[in-house]
Amino acid sequence: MKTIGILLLDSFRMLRSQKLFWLVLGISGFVALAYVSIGFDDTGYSVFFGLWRFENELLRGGEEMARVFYLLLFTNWIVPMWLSFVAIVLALISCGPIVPEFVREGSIDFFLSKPPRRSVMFLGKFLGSLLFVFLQIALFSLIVFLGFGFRFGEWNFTIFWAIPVLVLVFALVYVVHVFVAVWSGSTVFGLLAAFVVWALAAMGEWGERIVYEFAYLTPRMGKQLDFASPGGWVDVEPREDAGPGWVSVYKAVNALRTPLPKTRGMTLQLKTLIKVNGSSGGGGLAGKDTLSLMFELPSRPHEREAMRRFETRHPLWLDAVTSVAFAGFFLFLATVIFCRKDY
Amino acid sequence: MDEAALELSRVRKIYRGRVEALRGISLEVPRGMIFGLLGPNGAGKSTLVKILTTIIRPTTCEGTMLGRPVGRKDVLRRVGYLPESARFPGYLTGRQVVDYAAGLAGVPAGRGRQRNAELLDLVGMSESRDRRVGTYSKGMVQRIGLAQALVNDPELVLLDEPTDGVDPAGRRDMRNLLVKLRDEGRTVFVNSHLLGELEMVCDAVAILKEGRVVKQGRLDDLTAASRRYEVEAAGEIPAELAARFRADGFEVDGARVGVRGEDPGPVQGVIDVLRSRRAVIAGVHVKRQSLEDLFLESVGGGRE
Repeated sequence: MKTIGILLLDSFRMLRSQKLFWLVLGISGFVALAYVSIGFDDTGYSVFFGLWRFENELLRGGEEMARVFYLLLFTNWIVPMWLSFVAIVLALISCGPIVPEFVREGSIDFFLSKPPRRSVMFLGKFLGSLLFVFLQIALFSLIVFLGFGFRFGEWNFTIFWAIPVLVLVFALVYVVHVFVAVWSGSTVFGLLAAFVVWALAAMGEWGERIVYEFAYLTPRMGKQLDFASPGGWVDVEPREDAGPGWVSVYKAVNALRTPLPKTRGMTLQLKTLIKVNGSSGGGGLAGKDTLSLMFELPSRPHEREAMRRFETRHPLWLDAVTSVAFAGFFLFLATVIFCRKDY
Repeated sequence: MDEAALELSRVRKIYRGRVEALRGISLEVPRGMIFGLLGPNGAGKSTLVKILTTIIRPTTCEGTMLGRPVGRKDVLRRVGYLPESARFPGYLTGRQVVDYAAGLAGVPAGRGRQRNAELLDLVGMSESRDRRVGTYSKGMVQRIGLAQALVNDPELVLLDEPTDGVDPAGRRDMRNLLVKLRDEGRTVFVNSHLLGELEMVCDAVAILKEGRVVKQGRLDDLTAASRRYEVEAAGEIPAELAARFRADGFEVDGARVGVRGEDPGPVQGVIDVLRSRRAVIAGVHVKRQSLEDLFLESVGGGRE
């Protein structure tokens, strides 16, 4: 553990020396500040601490919807757009050289000639690389937690789920880079591989989602594609699925998706993890997660049920286990290569 | 504590592609001496040191380092190592590099801090200790590298090209430091191309050629056969006298008469003959083969 601690301290020193780290931290701080600058009064809401005011019947002080809106803004916009995409791209670029520099001749000799085992050294370096994202998201989550608490008097600790989930999302992509980098010693090759796998994973998830919509969602909502109609869709009698053909296609696509890392899926799972606390009298919303709140939107019960089944089709545990297994597999391979290689 | 610092036998390393870097090295390095490992490029010197420090895994290796089987990580707590062309994280200061090494080597924090200050002073880096390594010259990096290698108070110090990039004053400091380490009872194992540097400090050497040890032993023993005395006259030695000396088995070159061997007895006879002819004796010198000569002879006059 002492070795891991020493390597983490070194990683922290490395981060402190990187301009990109401070730049991303600064942008994260600004986005977080912009988020907490949103306020509500009797007539509506304001942004940038009252600089711009907007009148709104639903989004105003005292309305439950305002609280829900505030939380949805975090889970549906800031997390997918900034924390799980742009910040991760920048973190990958920033952390990209860590492993190739580590295994370079002259540098690796310093580490391997010390008493700790190779595997401990390697895992310490890997964990240290995760610090970049960990610190960014921890700061962001803390600001959001405090903003939400002071704004609504509700200390919502579920916001901190963002930290492990988004660090895992980063690790899913980063571990591919580490595997390729330790094998090839190339930063560029490693990053390229990471982005390719990330893109493949995203395509797998989007593909599965689209096929599911055709195979299950639209039949359950009582919709059918009809190019002759003005909107492209016509209402029909709700059905369980679109038939054996679509179901078979879906099963095949879903089987392809299963072993891939669930970068998007895990991000979406945050919606089920972050709940409206209700500690200060959340009324009908107390204890509900932000995903459930979205199911309130369709008016007809069978549509709401179809939406619920659609959004919860992948249990959190399954996405988490398969993603962790993916990361673990590549980390194991990278560790084996690192431990067996002559430098 | 009587065992050798290093006792190696049958050390072989075959890299992928069937390149045989080491072909059954056997080596013994007694404790408390400065030991030089010499060899042309590609002879396997760095490979051997990397095997000792677990950076490279040998194909076969028998023997011990400080009484423990080679390849054991725990023994590295008692070993210091300065890699060839050492690279330390550019974002760390010199002091932090030594701290880092102390931490990884398992030196207790308090002892590490104390050693850090002592060593930075010892290698002449106290004034630059809080500058980032990225701003150091190559010589400064080597000095910091040496400090980090010594932070765990090692019994065995392995130095791979320690004077690489170091200026003449720095080399002198390095030599003095090696002698100091030996005087403290440590064993110093040096890989270097600079034969002149090694000759000044080494007690024993091994010469590698194409992955094999072609010569090893104490420097005095290895060069004993080549020891000779030279009697230098003030002027050219007359031809008939030179012929007489040659007939007696001595070497004559201008004003010098060479007497091979360690026995100074025959030298007295040469001096007597020269004095009887009223020749002025300008000096008597003890000569022996230089390390460079020994090296070139061992590797077949090849390149260093």
